[in-house]
Amino acid sequence: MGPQFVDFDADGFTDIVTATFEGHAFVVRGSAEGWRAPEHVRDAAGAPIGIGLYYDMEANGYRHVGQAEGEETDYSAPHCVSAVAFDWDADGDHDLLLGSKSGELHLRLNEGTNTEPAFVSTNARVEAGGAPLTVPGGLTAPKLVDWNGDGLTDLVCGSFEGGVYLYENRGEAGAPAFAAVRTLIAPGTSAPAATRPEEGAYVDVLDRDGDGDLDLVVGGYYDFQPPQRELTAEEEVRLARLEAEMAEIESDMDAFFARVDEAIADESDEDEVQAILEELYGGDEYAALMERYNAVSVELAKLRAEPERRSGIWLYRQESPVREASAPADGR
Amino acid sequence: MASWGVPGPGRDAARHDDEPTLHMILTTIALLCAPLGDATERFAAPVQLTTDGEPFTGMIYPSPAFHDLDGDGVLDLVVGDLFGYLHHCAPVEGDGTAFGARAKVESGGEPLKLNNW
Repeated sequence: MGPQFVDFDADGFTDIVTATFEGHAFVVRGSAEGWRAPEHVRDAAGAPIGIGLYYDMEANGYRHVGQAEGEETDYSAPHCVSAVAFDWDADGDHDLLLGSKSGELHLRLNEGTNTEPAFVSTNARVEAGGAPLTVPGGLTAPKLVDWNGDGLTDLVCGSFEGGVYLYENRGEAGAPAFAAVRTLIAPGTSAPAATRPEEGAYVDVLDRDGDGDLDLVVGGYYDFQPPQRELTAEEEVRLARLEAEMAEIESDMDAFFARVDEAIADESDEDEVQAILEELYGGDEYAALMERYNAVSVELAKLRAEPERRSGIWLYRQESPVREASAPADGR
Repeated sequence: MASWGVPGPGRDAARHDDEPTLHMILTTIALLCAPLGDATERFAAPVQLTTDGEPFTGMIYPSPAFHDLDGDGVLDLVVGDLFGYLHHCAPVEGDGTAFGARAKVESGGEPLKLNNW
């Protein structure tokens, strides 16, 4: 999500600008009474602002912009999952930067004002280092910050594959020009201990420890291996029996899935395929397999420490030589 | 500037005094080619944030942002999640990584939720 706190509509109250996997930019307007209900940010023609792929709540499925009736959804279309307000052209109003899951960044210009926005209906691809900006591992969300204290807004981007990347702005006010990517935090693993985010890195940037340079706060995932407790001799025997039973169940499941594949292999009619799948997966054999699988899994979990996937948030304090980088205030 | 990240030629120069000019050139080239930014920022080992005394966990795609939600002059931690909720908690005494109990940001007396599926 990567929420940005900014007075988007210039009414004196801080708003929240963001996007979700739904695929469009949202604004949550602040007021004297508190936060209003979220609403889509719309272009001058009234269309919700996104990039390509979006989730159609009424149709309960993904669609892509411009998709015709009966046309297959293009799942490879860029999918907007983040949005931040930024006065790209220094004309005094908020434009939007839209991040895609695949790592692209798109600019949606506002030809109106903050109080009467008129967003254009097309996106322009943002470049870095003379090529289309593509965050390694896909872009979770960008943060706007003057990283190097030169008065220009730089981009710090989180990555679905776990890294954090910097794009320095070497242009000028009203004409950003981002340099090629620089790695701030390289992707990595920390197993078995919870020492760092490994995937899904969302970042905020601020001088958290007050030492004059900018630190990173990163949310994400890590794989956690709980310590294995010591088993009694009786438990060891039971564990070996359960593991053998699980191997047998997995073999039976493989055989079941192979029969499913065989049953639909020569069927081209989608409705027939659906009917076959419903019959097989709704039948007694599959139900019995799942019942055995679940029962043995529960018993195994009592004896065997299984790896877990956990989320967390970490502070990376910068230890570089102190620089007078300006810590971000509103509009970060 | 620190020299980590400089590839082989720079290190080799210290061991091959019979070819100082060649190695000086190679070292200079290597320094110029090394990713400058990767050598200018260093971060301490990450420290996990806590809420109510426990590691801040249990969310899908936690996305942190700091903002003074209640206007007390102190930055609160606001965390978005996959389902479209925003959670917040205030810092407690410490090194900047400890926060109090978390609660959902509300709108109109209900948890604020952005569409996501």
